Amino acid sequence: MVGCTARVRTLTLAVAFWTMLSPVPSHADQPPPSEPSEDDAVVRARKHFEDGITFVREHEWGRALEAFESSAALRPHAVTTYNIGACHRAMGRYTRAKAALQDALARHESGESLPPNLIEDSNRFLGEIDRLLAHVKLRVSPADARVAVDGAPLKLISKPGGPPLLVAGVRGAGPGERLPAKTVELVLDPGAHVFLLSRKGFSDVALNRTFPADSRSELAYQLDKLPAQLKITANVERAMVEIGGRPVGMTPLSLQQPAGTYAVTVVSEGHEPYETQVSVKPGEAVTLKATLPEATPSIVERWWFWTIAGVVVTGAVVGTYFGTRPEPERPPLDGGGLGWTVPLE
Amino acid sequence: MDRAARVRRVGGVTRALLATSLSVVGCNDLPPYGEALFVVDTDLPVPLLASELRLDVYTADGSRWYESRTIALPDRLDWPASFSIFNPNDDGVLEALVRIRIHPRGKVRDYRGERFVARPGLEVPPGEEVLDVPSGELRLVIQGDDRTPPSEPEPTLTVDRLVLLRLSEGERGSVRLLMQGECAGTMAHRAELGTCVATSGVLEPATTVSLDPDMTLPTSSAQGTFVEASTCTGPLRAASMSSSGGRLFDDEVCVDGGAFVFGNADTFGVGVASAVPERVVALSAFRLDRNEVTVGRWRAALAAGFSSPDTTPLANEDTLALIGNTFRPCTWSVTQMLQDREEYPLNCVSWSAARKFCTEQGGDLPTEAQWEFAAQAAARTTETRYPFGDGDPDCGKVVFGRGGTGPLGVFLGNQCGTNSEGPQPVTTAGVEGFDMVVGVGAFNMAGSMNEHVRDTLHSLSSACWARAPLREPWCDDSGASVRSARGGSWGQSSIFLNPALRLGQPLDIVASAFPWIAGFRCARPGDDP
Repeated sequence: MVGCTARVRTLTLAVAFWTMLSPVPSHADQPPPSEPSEDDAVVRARKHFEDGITFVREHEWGRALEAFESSAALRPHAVTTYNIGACHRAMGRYTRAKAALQDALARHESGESLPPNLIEDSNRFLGEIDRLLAHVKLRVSPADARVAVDGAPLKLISKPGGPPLLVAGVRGAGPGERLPAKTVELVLDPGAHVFLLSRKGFSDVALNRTFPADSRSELAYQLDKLPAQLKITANVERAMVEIGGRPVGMTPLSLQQPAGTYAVTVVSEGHEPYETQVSVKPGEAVTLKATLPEATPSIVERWWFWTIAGVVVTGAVVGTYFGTRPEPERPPLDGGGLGWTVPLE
Repeated sequence: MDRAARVRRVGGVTRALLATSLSVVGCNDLPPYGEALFVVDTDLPVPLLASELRLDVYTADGSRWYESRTIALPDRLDWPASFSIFNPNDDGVLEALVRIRIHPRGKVRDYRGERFVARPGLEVPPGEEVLDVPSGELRLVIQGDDRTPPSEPEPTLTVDRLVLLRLSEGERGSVRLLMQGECAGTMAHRAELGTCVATSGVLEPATTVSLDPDMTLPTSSAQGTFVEASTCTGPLRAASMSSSGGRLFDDEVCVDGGAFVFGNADTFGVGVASAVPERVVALSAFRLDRNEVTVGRWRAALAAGFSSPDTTPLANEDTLALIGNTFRPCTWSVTQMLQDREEYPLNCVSWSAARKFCTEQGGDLPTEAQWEFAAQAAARTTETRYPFGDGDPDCGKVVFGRGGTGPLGVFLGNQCGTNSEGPQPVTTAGVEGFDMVVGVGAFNMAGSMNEHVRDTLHSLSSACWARAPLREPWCDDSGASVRSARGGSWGQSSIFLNPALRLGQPLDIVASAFPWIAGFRCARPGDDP
């Protein structure tokens, strides 16, 4: 890696070069006060550039970066872009450094001259950076989950038709975005990062992961569906709630269930049962208010019915015994106080 | 006999006739299904520590999970709970691994596969942490549908039992399980078939249960017997007067023994002071000062020969003041009558001085567990949000947020800025009894002074607390320089009134940023004469 002194010398050369390129102020009409003229922009750009050099000498890389970026905003040039890349590299932001150095070389190719030594340094830095970056094979399920790394979305850098290659740390802060494919290759700076995965209806996940320099690893994660909340009340106290035929508690009852459709039954002695189907989505809260009317005595609860039925049926059974043989049955299961009868498999 | 009873009697007689007829002609000539009637009881208090039951059934080798049920049982009448597991086959023997868990309702964690949390033995080398060892995914799949519950009982608060069941056709009987509080927090190791039966922290091999032919359901429950119904047998100190006729506020209350959830998951993220993970703690009865130790009580002890081991309490020979350059918040003064703060709680006092005072009075500082139990759970069926109940703190009834309008109030809290600033007499706002602990009768455990407790301030997930037993736990690290304190104070905002929130005071209170919020009260064992 280029030493600090050499780095400063390189940037000093860039200062001299920049000075040579600055145009002689024209004597054209002055622009409206509200709009800065090109000359004003160049002057201010040069001032920012020189400030950046000063900060570099003082090892104030952050302030130097800000100054060079201000200069580039007013008058972009390959040398300024190189300096930006050098500052990112000094601060360990290798993905951003790589992007800036590649941009500087591209600008050189398109006519913004870059001194030979800066070209050589750029290529050497790029080689060093490629040996430092971490590579992660990222797979997220569901595939349309949004992904952000360190609070910013990823940038797609691969060419169309090729496998998706994304880089972290080069875009500004913002919400996560969907990946272009279920599995992608991700390039990021070595060190600790926070992955934020999110999708509507699923639990957000924040993953802390640390990647050594020049490492290759895999990161696969499946988001969990948010459970739904089901709240059940009834017009009678302590009515038993059954879901899918299984008792789960007594009213008033709040419980979590995976998203889906459920058959809910609420029963209470002396009342007609309440039955319904309820569909809940992930993260949804649903309240059911069960109204159980009092049971009206049916005919089977009349004493005379059983008397007549007993006489008739008993006589029929005895009379038809030799004609038919009923299927054998087993004694009923106990079920205990909860009424659960769980079959073994 | 009323109409309904007559219907039932006639119906019953008729059904009996039918059954007899049918049995005569040979309808019930098949043996019963093999059936195990599980009768599950607990000695934990209901609903404070046991209000939900979870049943999971796996194949005997544990490779497949095919049944899961959860039911809320918050009523004492719900226990013992009973249910059946049966063999539906006509022939052959079926085996299964049955897992039963009971816990306080709502105390769950996300299910992310089988994650065994080892409760270390009582002897854990310093530096070792409680391990969370994933042992692989296991999903509940029924007829191709993934019905895995999204959550599972929180292991640190759950009694977790594994048994092996073997049933053949016609074999019927009961399995009676007592889910003992001693096993709370000792998670079963499903993969290795290890389960706690009766000893905290000890996993025994899960065994095949034998069936008891007696299938009658019990009519009583063991709930609430985990801690023997203990109350104080030693006499409670009555309030006394000083030689000059002032009240010393030195009377005691009895805190009956019991078990509760120590800690509070809502404090997660507050650093070392976080009260997580929650755990079950059992305490025997103890006596507790009704009030914080006052200036007058300290003076009376000095007159009787007590001496402080250091330069605390710091003295203030002037009035109390909180504004700007006149910042005098310490309540102690050498000149008694001039300052007339005898009924104020003592502050600016070190942990060492407080502890010496308590031990020379026959007791000690309360442990964190004792303090939290008294403040939030003792003598209650469910924990209260604050010592005084579940309502929001009232500036007129609780001493907090009185840092004044100067820099201290801005920094520490001046929610009650319109009320009296600074420390207040133990008779809060002139009306005794407002900030009273529900069921216990102590005063000012919320606010007033941030009370020293006996324990070192270590995270509840530290090795110190991992070593602590289920009964009478406390954390003592003589090499540490910060001791714990509880309850919030006159100078802090209401957030610090959370009884489970743990604060700290350095042993060198003089070097502390806030010595003027530090006070204390003493505790004594319940059975000392």
